[in-house]
This record gives sequence, C-alpha cells and structure tokens, in this order.
Amino acid sequence: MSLLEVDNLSILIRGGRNLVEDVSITVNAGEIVGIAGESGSGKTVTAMTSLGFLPAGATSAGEVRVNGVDVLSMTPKQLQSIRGTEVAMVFQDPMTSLHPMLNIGTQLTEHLRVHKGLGRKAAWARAAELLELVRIPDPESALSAFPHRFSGGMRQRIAIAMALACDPKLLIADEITTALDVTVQAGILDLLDRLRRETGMAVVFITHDLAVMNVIADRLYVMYGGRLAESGSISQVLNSTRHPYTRALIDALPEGAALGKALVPIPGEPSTPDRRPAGCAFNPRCTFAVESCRTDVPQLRELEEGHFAACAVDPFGSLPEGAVPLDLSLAARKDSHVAS
Amino acid sequence: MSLLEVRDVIVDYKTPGRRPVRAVAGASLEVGPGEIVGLVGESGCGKSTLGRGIVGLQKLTSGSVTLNGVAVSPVGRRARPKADRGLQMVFQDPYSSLNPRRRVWRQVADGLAERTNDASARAAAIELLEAVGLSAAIADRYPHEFSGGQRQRIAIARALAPQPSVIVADEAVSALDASTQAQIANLLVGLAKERGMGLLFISHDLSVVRHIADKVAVMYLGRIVETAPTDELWESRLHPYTDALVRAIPSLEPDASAPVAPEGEVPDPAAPPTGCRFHPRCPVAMDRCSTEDPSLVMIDDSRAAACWHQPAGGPAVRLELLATRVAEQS
Repeated sequence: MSLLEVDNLSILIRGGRNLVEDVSITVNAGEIVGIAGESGSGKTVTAMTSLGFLPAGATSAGEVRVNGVDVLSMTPKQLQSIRGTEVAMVFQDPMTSLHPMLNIGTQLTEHLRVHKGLGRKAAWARAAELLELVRIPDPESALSAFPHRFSGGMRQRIAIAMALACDPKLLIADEITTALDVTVQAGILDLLDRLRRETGMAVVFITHDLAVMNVIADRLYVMYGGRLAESGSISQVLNSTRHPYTRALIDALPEGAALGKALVPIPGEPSTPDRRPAGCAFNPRCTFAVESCRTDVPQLRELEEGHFAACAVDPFGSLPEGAVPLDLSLAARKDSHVAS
Repeated sequence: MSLLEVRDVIVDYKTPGRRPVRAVAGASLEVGPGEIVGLVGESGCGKSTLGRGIVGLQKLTSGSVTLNGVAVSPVGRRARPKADRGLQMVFQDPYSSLNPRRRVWRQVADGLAERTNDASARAAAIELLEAVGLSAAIADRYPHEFSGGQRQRIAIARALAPQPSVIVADEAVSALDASTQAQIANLLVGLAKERGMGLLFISHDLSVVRHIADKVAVMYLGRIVETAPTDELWESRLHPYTDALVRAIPSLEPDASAPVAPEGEVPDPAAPPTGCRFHPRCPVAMDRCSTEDPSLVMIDDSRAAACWHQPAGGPAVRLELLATRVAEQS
C-alpha cells in the first residue's frame, strides 16, 4: 500500500465543468513526486484533495486514500486528525501562511499544543528545534521575532518548519520556490531532500519549472487540461519524452532550448476549465494532432515499465519497421543545433 | 561612444529617524545600439532601483546617466525634455502599468512623438500594436480583456511609441507562464535587433538572461561585481559571487548535479559588511577583503570584475585555482 493513492479522481464544479478528470497518482514513503503543468492544469486542486479539500461547491468521483483510508468520505473531525499530522502543506507565498502580527513562536507552538498536547515550555523548545532543522540562525531569538523581520527565503523555511511541526508523513509543496531567488531555492531544495532522507517523509512537489523537477523529483506527473498527459520516472519523462505537450513545455524553457536560437513558445493559449476543447485537450496547440485527436479523449497507456503517456499519435515512440529512432535527448538536440 | 552611459550611480533611500539605505552603491554600465545587456542579481540587490534611477523615476544621490551624450533628468511634474523620451521602461506587472479605464490604442498613442489628430494617432498606435504581434481589431478594447502576455505586448507597444533608443525592461517576463515568457523574450530581442535599440534587461532569472543577453552585469548588494559577454560568463566566472549564483541554477540536463546554495544570507543593505560586500559569504576571501573594498576594473578587453583576486589588466585567475591557493595559504 502506498502512502497516497489518488484513484481515478474527477472533480466537477457547477455548470458540469470538470476541473480534474480521471487522475491517478501514487506516492510512496520517502519519495519526492512532482506534478507539473501550466496554471489551470489542475495540479494544485489534485494535490489539495489529499488534505480533504475540494473547491467550494465541487463534487468528486474516485478515491483519494492516505494510508489506505479514503479522505473524501471522512467526517470533518476525522479530517482534522490527519491534517498536519499525516499530511501538511506549504504554499507559494509564505507571507499568506504566516500571521504578520503574531511572533514566530506563537504560530509554531499552536500546532504543537493542539495536536501533540505539549505544554507551553515543551512546545517552545520543540519549536526552536524545528527552526534549527530548517537552518534558521539563532532559533531562540527568532521565535520571539515577527515575520517581517525575515527575508523571503527564511520565511519560506519557517513556513516549512510549521508544516513539519507534527511530523507529517506527506508534505504538499505547492510552488514553494517559484517566488524565490535561485540561491535561496537551492537551499530549500536541499532541505527537502535532506528531510526525506532523514525522516522518510514523502513530498508532492508542485511546480511548472521542469529544471527544478529534474534536480528534486524521483517521479513526475505532467498534467494538461485537468488530465494526466504523461508520467514516469524523472529521466523517462524528461529524457525520453513521449507526449507532445511535455516536449513543447521543455522546448519553451530557456534551459531546454538550444543556445543562440530563439525560444520556442507553445502556440495558442492554455486550456482552462471553461475552455476545454473536445477530444485531447492539447489538440489545438499540438503540431502532431490528427483527426481523431479532435474527437476522442486519449487514454493513458504504459509505453515502457512505469512510463505512461496519453497520446493517440505517440509521435516520438511508434516508428515504422526498420526506421532509426530520433534521438531527442537534450545533449543530442543541442549538438544538432550547433551543426546546423 | 555608447548609447546609454551610467557612471558611478549612487541611490540612497532615506527614512526619517533611520540610517539611509544605500540601495545602489556606485554602479556603472553601458548599453550600445542593438545591444542587449542583462542586469542580474538576487532580490534586494538594487537592480530595480538602478533601473528606475537610469530612466529618472528615482532621484540619484550622485552619479550621472547620459543618453546619446545628453544627461537624463529626473521625472518631475513638468513634461520631460524631448531628448529623454529616447529612454523608455517596461515594468514587471502589466496589470498595474496599464490604465484599466482607457482603450489600449489611446494608451499606446500617449507616447507618440508627434501627434496631430485622433485619426493619425490611432493609425500610428495600431501600427505599433501590430509590431508587437497584436491585431488591429483589438485597438478599442480595454486592458482587462487581455491575458498577461498580451498586456505585456501592449506595454511594450506603448514604450515603442516615442521611438526610443534604449528600453529598460524591469523583470518584464518574470510574471508570465513559461511559454508566454518565451514569446515576450523573443519579441524584445527581435525589436532590439531590428530597430537597433539598446535593451537593459533586468531579471533575477539567469536562464532567460543567458538566452537573450549579449552582455551580463551581475549585481550584489548595490554593487556591480562582474560584467562579461554572456557566453564567456557561462564558460568561466571571475567573481566568486557570480560563480555562486550560476551554480545555484537547476539544470535540465540528464543526471544534473543538485544546485548549490551559497553560504549564509544576504546581509541587510542598511548595514553592509566592511570591505568587499561579499566577503562574509565568500569561499575564497582573504584578510584584505574584509577591510578594503575592491572596485570594478577591466580584467581583459571584454570582462570586468570587482575582486581582489583579479588583477586590473589581467591575466584573469580561474576560480578553481583560487580555491586551492586559499587552501594552501591557510
């Protein structure tokens, strides 16, 4: 049994629109799993269900199991018992998760006293330990300081310390490094990697930045238009990419494009819940789309062990007999650009 | 002579009852025609303040900014001198830089150098909107009808209206999705090259800068610590801070090594360290670094650095060698 099992999850909002359709994700203990996609792809909504959160007025189908128990059918009281202790979450903007007018110590000890029943002094001592864990210098005096005293990177580390207060088994990290400088980002990524090695905590890491995914995630799910486009180990998805959307996303990145060439934007506009084309959601922007892509929704198929893609055309996979496969790896593409 | 020359600019922010914060502590740079200069650094390093100081939005404490040899004057209540219109700015957030209650063509037409009547102004505005990849049909719409990327195109069209010779773009692509970012970056590069316009591209995103800039200036705590042609900078760094910055960038390459975070935190700009401002975090700092402040000097024809390890006029010392040299001394 995996720590988190999202099973054929669909989320419907009023007006019969689907935010998320038929998404399945598993996360094992000690694993860092990435969910990538543009804004509006459904990556945050999917991850939030593991805490029992659904958008207001939404209904769901499918199951989301944490340690084998379906959170979508839990009572509010049961949910409270898993939030923070089993699953915790960190958001993009640490200023919205920290109260500006309470000192750090008050905010950190609140969880410890409610969930763990610690006394004032014991909670304060544990809070100092947590700050030390996330490498905040001089934790004792930091506890009596207010959030504005800290830099963006330190605030984000304090928000992580807060999420870690009750030793969660799963941490949902939603774009937690997007607003930070690369130097600070490097520190946070290192912290997450250390925590999962030392405590066996699993992390769901949500970002649209594939270069960050490449250095932090073990496995990657790519979402587009509320559905999974591709999933597999980080090297399967990024180095032997099979879905045209993943390929286009890599090519649009400055890190992915060849130097000295213009960047390659994905044509068209991203699909949003109120603008979902029929068939494959990516078909209007896809250079490989055929007639059936406009009518039939492609199903996820296992292309090699553990590597899934939902593309009816599979332009980087299926080759006629005797053909030489195209080497689409980064290194090969860079060389070929230099040669041309 | 360069198009835009920035000499020894100092900008202080004064708050009553507090010590002034020196956001820019002596910065010099040049932008030539058709040249794209990337100005990079972490948040709080003063790169935006420098950008605002250059266009006149922020009063300089000392130093000078000249465009085509003419000093740029600060923006005040009066109309700007004609010569200063050659310097335009594009901001990070196109949601707040456009007026929500005015039609987009009117906002673009505001900047036109010569204005006779509405009909000709509208025609000129439409021409500019088309130059940034928008269609004439959208001229009468309001900003809320556009996506972030389209709004940034409108802001760029407006900046182009007075036919500027230099555009300062402050984090102009940072708030956009990856794919839109690529579109706007390509647009800015195309415009600079076609029109022979200088572009000062301020960004914290080194990956984008690496792609579009001809030259890079790296800023740390109010100082420019290194300038170099982009490809040479990625080949080798002369300043330890630049090296730390580049090594923190995550890579898309297979089996990429984990990005490395530099030691410590960025110090408070109100109380910068003595000597070289990077020395408390520098892996190769010497005694001299904590007392004497190095100035930015040319190391060879194309590169400059502000580091006591790098002698003026060269030859440049490789950072790997420095590390071993420092290890031997201690």
